[in-house]
Amino acid sequence: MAGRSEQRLIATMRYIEPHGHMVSRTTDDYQAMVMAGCQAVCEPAFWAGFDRSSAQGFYDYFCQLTQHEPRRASMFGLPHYTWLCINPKESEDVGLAEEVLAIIPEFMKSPNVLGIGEIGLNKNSRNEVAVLEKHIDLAASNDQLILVHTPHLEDKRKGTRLILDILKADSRIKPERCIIDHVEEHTVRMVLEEGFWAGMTLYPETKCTSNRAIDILEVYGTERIWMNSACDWGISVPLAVPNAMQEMKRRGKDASYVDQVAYQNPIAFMSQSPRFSVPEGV
Amino acid sequence: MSRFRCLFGAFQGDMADRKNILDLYFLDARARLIDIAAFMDRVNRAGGETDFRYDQFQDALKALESDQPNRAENVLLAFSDPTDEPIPVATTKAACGAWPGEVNND
Repeated sequence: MAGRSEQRLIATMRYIEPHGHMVSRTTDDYQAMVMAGCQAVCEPAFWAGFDRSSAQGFYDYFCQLTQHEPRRASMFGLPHYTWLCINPKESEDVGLAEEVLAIIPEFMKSPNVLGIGEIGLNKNSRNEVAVLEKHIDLAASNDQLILVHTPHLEDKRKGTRLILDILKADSRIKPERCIIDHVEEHTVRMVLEEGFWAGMTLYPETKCTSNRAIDILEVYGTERIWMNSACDWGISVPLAVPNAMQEMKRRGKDASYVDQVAYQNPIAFMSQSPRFSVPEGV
Repeated sequence: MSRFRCLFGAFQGDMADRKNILDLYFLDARARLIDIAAFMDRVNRAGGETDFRYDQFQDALKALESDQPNRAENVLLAFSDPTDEPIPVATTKAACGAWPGEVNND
């Protein structure tokens, strides 16, 4: 917990956006996030909303994530980190996935790459499972952190269970180096009980609302858990995390509680990568 | 004066206190509940075929009648795929919010 002097320091909100698809957002969003207290943004590789037609399309995307987007974020003084993969939404084509997996190691050398993600499952198919296992092998072979996407809506419970079992089946994987994202009330317990980190995604309609996320914190505590906006090209709110922080204050949480969830916890997880630096000047 | 205190003056102190939680969230929850009722009326007025999504919606409502503090979890489970094995092939990327049942595409 923060001391009194640090309590004063964090009277103004600071947070890290640990999951934002910034290539889909405007500079206005960057500006608003920085003004709301964002100290760093982390961008997992994502589905574009349409299927890329070749591995070359992913090569260009990985260049965007490792070269162009960090420069764009830096215009706002914001450190930008990224995660690499072929998203589970494009994992049904195992041949394409293998081509994409083959080019990822070249980009792992980039200074803003924290690990492999967001991998996982979408519809819980056999091919998705096969591609997930290949990603896990790539991460384990290269000592990379893992960021996991869990499926949407009716597929989440089953997909989360499958993902945890697949991760646990690989003896090289340390649960404390994996974050299982998009947890909700029916999946958070299994994730935390089995030693993994949990991410709560704050969406207006699907996934978690701010109030439900705070409920989960009240029930399960603030250890090994973070919240993110996962802002992308769909209906999502880039300021969802500071909005939730405000709601925590309304609910009577003190500054150190809010800081723990929104700032300290993302740092604790991502600092397991030597590439991640604690933001300066806060 | 007391009414204004009820609306604006109560968000201090122990948030584990039921009154404070109600002061903060009652009107929002009330509005959402009325929205759900209006949605169900709308579905009734529309007529047409039965739909697995609405069937599961009605099942999920039963979770609200419980006095156990895991209603949200049980609502989510009411809409969830209860099976454990991977499906043979993903024929869509989308999820609709309710489980349509097992698809045999072996």
